[in-house]
Amino acid sequence: MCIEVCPSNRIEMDNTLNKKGYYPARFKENPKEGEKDCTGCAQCATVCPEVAIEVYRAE
Amino acid sequence: MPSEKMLMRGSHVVGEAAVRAGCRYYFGYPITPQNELPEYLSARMPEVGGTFIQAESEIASINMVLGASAAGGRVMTSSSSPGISLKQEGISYMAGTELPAVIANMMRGGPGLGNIAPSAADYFQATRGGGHGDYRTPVLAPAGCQELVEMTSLAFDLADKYRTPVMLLGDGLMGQVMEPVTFPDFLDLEKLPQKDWTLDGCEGREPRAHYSMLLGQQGELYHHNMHLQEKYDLITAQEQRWETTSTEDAEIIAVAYGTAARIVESAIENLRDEGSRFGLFRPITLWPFPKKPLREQVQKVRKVAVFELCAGQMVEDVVLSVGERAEIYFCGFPGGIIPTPADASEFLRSVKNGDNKVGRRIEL
Amino acid sequence: MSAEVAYKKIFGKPESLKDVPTHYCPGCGHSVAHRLVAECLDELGIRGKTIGVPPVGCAVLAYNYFNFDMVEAPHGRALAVATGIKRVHPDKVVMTYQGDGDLAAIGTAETIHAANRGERITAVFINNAIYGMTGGQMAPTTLLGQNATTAPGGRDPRLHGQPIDISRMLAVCNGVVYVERCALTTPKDIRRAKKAIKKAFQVQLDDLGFSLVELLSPCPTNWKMTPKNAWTWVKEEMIKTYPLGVIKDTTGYEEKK
Repeated sequence: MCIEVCPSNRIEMDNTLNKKGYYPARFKENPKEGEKDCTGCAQCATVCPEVAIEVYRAE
Repeated sequence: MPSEKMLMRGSHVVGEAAVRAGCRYYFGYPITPQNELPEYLSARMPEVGGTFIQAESEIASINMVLGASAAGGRVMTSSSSPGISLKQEGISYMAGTELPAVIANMMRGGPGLGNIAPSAADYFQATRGGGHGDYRTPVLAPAGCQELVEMTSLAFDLADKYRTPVMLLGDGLMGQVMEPVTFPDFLDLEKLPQKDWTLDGCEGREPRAHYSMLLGQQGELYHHNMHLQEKYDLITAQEQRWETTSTEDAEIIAVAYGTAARIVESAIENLRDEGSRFGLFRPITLWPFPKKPLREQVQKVRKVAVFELCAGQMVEDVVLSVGERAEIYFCGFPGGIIPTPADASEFLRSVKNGDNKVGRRIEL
Repeated sequence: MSAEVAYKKIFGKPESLKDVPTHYCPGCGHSVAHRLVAECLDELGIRGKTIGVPPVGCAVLAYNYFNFDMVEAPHGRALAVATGIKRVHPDKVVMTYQGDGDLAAIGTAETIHAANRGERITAVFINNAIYGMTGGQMAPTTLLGQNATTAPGGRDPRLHGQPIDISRMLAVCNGVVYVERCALTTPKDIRRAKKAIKKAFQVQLDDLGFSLVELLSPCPTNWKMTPKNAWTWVKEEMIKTYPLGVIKDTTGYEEKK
């Protein structure tokens, strides 16, 4: 769900399986040329059912 | 100090005794023949700073009891036979979750809607668990208003001591008669043993959770059941209560509880005047049933006469206790009929004469 | 992230939620709902004085996830159990967390009467229009035409009756002060839901009366949909029968924009 809502397109599916047998989501580090960076809007964390996401904002 | 002697109706007696025993929460629903109890407590509870709710059903009230018990209160509910049927789910949950409470049943004629006359046909329901699963609840069967005072107080103590629901078994007659009673002093709530498991908000400690569902693969529910069985073994070893009347020289022992016992007592007195020597064994705890004490009393006699206000329930426990050590006879009055001492005398004479005119021999 | 800039955590696991993985299905609304309740309790600072009653349903093990006092109730009886607790501890916060079967089928009487008595209790009502834990049977809130294992071919008004709107029924009771229906779908909806839950707890703290928040929640497993489609189905289909919004509000609180 996080992938759907991220306005900056910073999340993608991991291609390795986790312990429960799922492909989890993964944060895309280091934005490439022309891509938006994470703005800390926390939409991803808001929808995450597993509370798996922590969001940090620069102070 | 104890109160002075006063004339009071059985239902009111239970209410006053409960309040003096520290009960501050009552949740119930009207049903004849125990309506006087919630009515009494609806006025009395606010006087002592307690809470009274007339709930929307017997089911709702037993669940309010569950919640209040988990929160740490001394709490009770009451009803009569059909309403007690409704409470079985809640009682089973409380037994499994190990929550204390007192449930008073003023029995009436059944099954189904039955009638509103006194009866004692809920023995199986009370002593065999009543709801689903492997559990028991202590069952106290007083035989008059003064004993109602003592048993009500004892019920709360047993409930807290063993963390179990406790059944107080009366009947419509006991609820309605007025007898002289004295009450003990009000229990000092501060002096009651502290409960270290109650829910009152987890401030300053780890959160607590109370539940009866144990799904674990390592046999958690099995072990919990074993723990409950150990508890019931302990109660059986420590809490049996009974009373004997005129058994020292008796030729035949009658077995009866509650109102039936009082009828038999009168009959035995009359029969003594005729020269017949009958005795009475009166269980006060129906669970745990005083098996060994009954067996010991029966050693000296050849016949046992069981007298019940139903079609035959306690008689099975008598069979379990006595076996083939004596001949067992039964006479019962189901459906809300109240026999007289003369009826009981007829039965006892018939047992002595062996003519099978009244009642019947129980074949093993 | 660069090491020179200082970062402040703005979103993490609330203290009122234990740090354990849940057993809920991927895309299930329960996990989000649990988190919202936990966040509200944290923000109001009431975790230490909250006592909760979970349902019988998928969330029956909620005491393994919520980090405060809880007691199990028989199916449907949560609001009666909560009443008992609240009468013993009127100064504590008592809440129930129930599904559609628990609150609006077997528990209907207990629900209506606790609400009608105006008990100072907060009920969180998870409506996913199906019976999840037992494998997808029809719920009182199953939509017309929606498939369920006990309504094969879809819910038929003649055979099965209409879906029930318990929130609107409760709004009629004078003891009920605040009822709102929200959805657990888009981030915006979820944020609105959190506001509603927080307000519902505030109602209890201010001793106003009974409050209930209904949360339309996806059940991908029993709706036989992908999580993404399930979340869309709530937004596009469920709200036709169960429109979102405030159903009753006599709190007198001012709405902060």
